[in-house]
Amino acid sequence: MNFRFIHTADWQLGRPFAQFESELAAQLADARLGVIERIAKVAQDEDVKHVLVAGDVWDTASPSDKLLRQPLDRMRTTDVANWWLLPGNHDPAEPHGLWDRLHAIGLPDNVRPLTQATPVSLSDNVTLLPAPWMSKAPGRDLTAEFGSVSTPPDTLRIGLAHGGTCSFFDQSPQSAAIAENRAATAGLDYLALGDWHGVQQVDERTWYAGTPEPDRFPNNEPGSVLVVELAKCELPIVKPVKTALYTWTRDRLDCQDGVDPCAEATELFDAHGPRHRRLSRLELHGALRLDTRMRFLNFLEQERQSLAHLRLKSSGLLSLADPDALDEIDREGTLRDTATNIVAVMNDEDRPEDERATARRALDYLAAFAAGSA
Amino acid sequence: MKLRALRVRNVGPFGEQGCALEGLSDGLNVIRERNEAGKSTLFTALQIVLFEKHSSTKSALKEFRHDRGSGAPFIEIDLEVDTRTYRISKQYLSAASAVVTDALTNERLSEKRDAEDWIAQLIGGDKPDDGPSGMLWIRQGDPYLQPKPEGSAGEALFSVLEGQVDTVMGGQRAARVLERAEKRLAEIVSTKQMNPKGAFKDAIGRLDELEGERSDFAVAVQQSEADRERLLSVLKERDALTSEDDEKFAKDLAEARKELEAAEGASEKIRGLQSEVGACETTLKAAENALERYSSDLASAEKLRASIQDKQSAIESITETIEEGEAPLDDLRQQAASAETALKQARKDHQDALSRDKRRREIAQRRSLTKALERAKDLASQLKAAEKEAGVSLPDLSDLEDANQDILTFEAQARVARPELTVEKSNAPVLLDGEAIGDTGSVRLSGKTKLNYQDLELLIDTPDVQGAEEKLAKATERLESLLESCGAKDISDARRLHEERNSAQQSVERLKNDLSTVAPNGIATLENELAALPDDEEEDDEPGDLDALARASELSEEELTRIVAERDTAAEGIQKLRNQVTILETQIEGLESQLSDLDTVLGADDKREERRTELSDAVVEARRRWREAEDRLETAERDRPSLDGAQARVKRLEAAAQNRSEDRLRLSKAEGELRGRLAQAGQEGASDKLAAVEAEITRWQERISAFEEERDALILLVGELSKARASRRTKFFAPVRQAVDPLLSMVLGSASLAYDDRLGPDELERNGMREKLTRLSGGTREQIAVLTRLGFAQVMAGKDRHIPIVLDDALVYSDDERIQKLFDVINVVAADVQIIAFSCRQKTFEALGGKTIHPVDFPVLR
Repeated sequence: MNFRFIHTADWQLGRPFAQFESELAAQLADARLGVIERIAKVAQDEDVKHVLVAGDVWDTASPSDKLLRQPLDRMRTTDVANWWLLPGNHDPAEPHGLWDRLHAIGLPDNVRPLTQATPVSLSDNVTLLPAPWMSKAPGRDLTAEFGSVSTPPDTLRIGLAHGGTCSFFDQSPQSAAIAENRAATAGLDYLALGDWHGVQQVDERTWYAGTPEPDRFPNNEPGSVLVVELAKCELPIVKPVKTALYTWTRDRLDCQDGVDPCAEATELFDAHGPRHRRLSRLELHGALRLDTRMRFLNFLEQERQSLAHLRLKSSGLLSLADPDALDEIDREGTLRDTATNIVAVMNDEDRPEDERATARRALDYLAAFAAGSA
Repeated sequence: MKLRALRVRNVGPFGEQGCALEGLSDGLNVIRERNEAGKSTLFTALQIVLFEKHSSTKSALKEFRHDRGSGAPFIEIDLEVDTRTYRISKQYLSAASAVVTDALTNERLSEKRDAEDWIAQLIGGDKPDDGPSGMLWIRQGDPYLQPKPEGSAGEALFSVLEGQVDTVMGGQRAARVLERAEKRLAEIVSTKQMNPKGAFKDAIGRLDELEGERSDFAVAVQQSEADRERLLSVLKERDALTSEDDEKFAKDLAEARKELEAAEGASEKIRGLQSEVGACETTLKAAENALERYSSDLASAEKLRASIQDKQSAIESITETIEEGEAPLDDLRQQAASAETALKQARKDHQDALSRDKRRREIAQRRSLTKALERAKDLASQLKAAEKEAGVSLPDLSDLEDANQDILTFEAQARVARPELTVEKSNAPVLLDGEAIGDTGSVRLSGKTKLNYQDLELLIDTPDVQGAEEKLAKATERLESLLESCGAKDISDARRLHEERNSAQQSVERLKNDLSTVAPNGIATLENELAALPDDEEEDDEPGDLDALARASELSEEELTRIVAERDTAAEGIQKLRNQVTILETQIEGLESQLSDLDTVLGADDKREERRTELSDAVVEARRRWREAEDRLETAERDRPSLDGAQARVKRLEAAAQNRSEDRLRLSKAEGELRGRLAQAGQEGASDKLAAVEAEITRWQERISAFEEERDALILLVGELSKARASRRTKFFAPVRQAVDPLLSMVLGSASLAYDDRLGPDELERNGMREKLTRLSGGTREQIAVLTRLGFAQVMAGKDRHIPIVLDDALVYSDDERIQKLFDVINVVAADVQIIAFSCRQKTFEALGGKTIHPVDFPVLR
């Protein structure tokens, strides 16, 4: 018998995006909430009835009523048979906390909160072993009891837990780190984990699904859910399915003289879907001639308008302030003297980096103002 | 270029005859003329011929025309340039012309417009303030306007200093870049303090707001978390109040109440027993009292009988004593009567003796008084005679003595007034007033008397004889009167009479004393006392020994007193005994009455013991009953359950039940409140807002960081630009500083001038302090204006660009000391530069030295 389900985690509904302009922040928040429909669509497409959410459904332990009700309503209106929601470190099942409020509000029939560490039958011969967070600092590996739970021999055992594995964290007594070999030691057919925001396979039966809608710039392949197929005595078949509406990328461009940085940037921006849903954190490195650098920075400022968001870090891009480059400012006279003095600061390795960075910016301004004053 | 001559006609005060400055030297030329001599006209003419085209019809030119003439203004100058002298001649307004000729050869070099172009090229400009010439002039009225090497004037100066001015200075681009950088910087920070402003400041303000909101939301979130914890605690506390506990409390309370009822019943029983014990105790005390009272009465009756017996014995004893004392008392009574008779006789004998003694003393007194009366009368008679003699009236002896003395005095005076002339021997008659006096006669002289003796004639003039004699006569008359009044013959007699009277007065005093001794109360009193005495002159027998008789009488009286006292004592003792008998009899009567009463109470004697036994048995019975009751009470109290304990337990359990009930209410209320607050917090979504605020804070922090980076970069850029400009300026202006600063120091002491980008003097540095020129005094600014121009001219002269300096009444604000120093400087510079100085201060500028130029008439037309 094969059993198929969707493994997802770290929705962190209600996560604010106020670091962005309000319009983009609202769009990101809406995209995050809309991931429920997109997961339901995947479920429909993949013909699965169970969605296991491995913790951190909500971003905080005390979200507003509106933020509680709206996801419930969206889940209620889907064809998914059961949304199995596990409390994580962001939304632990503390007494009279978020999860009690959910009960008070009234849960849809297809929404199944897992606030007790007791086995749940998902189907015939399929048992779910949840490890909910009952507090923000449980101080132990919540999956440790999985091994003591007995199930009939033919039963598929699925563990659902939240937190980093031991390879992520130190082994302090208070650590909630999950043993990396938990699936093996507890006889699990699959251990569905949450907390790591990108898709990551820990071992052949242990996976992190990552967040289905990214919210930051890590390079860990976020934005997917895992469609998992289990069969007794077989390894799980895990298929990531993209669900993200927005693409968050942490980009780096190493510029070098003689290579057109604008073309490279264009290629980079075009690489991940539509630009209006692209949030890029771009770090520039290398060195360009002063005039090329100025032109490139101006180009990026124009490109910024086509992207959902561009966070530019240009302090790593140095200016090639050779005499020819400085001639662009002035061949001699006060401006040239000024440029020469600033370049001296830039290149003075005995100076703190922040002073040298300030000098680079000052040279940028000088070049820009000089160009405008020609 | 050097000016050699200036000639004008039909300008200002100069008419057709004109005026000319000829022979201007290479160095210092001084034109010292009085006011309104036309110096400024010459100065203006020099400006016009250099900068005003001949075709100009400006109103200023018309005003410049000579007011009384109709001739066209004509100006001519000779300029030496590179060893060649050119003559520029211009006529304005009518038949205007401009001609440049070779002054030496009179060769016409250019005319009209060509001539104007030639001039403009020569002087480097075609405007009054233009070109180095304009820059180096100082006009009357604005002596401290600093030179502004701008436009062609600046270019000329700069071109002297360097070749490509704009290239060397960094051009205007540097200024524009600096301006843009400063403008941008000024948009985000304040100019002086570099405090954030504009969008930068707004970002910081917004961040502060968000920090505040974050704090508020954090508090709300913490409060919500605390509420949740509190709710957990409340529910836990409520759960602890189980119903099982309630039942146990109820059961315990029921049992406690039963125990309380039992304890209260036991207490009631004890109170009954306590009453019974009290009643038994009362009965016992009554029986004991009855027994004790009966026994007491018996004893009292016995005591009464014994007492009556004792008192009767005492009466008998006293009665015997009284009877024994009656005989001695009678004897004493008889002794008293005898003593009383003897006393009476003794007293009679003594009285008779006293009477006889009194009569004898009266007779003796009569005799004494009689003698005293006679003596007194004799003394009174003597006194009367003496008083008569002492009472004679005599004038005061001192008056007599005074009158006598006056006579002696006046007699002496009279004698002096009438000197006595005695002729003791004369050979010829001595004539007084023609009358001769005897040979030995003596004559008293008075008044004016003529004395003649032989040939001698004397006129003797004596004092006033008349006055002295009158006084003498009056004194004599007064003495005689006084003597007459007392019957004295002369003063000696009068003195005797006074002595006799005084002796009589002393006798009167003595007699009075004697009389007062003999009859101190007067003779009449003596006579009365004598009359009061009996006339009997016969004496009785001797009165006997009066003292013995008195002593016998006293002894009789003492004997009588002693006997009476003994008699009274004996009588009193007997009376006291009788009184005692009476008292005892009365007491016996009272005791018998009491005894009678007791007998009545006690009953018959033969029944008394029986009665006492009855009472004693009653006491024994009552005590037995009382002890039994006591035992029952003690047993009941010992077995009684604790009422206080039972009450406390009931109270405690009731309070506990009440507390549990109240706790339930309190916890229920707290739960409601906490759930309400949590629900409210959920609706408000404080944690969502907190997260959102924190995210927004991140955004604004990044924005502020961007502003800070921009600010730092712009500050660095502005600073580097300013430093580069300053460095360039210092290097570029070095020749100017080298020329000007020594000149400044000659006048102002050690000083240095700083310039702006266009070589305009900007700041003066003295003693390490920099001051803006605009803050200096007018005199100093004027001196700097002159010195700077001198320096500029020196610099240019050093590059073979000779430009004359023209000073029109400059140095008007400089004091005497400074002006002398300035004169020195001008002379120093004049070694290299032609200087033309106009001044109306003839005396002061005499010290300037140089070549004095005297205006002369316009030369004869060539």
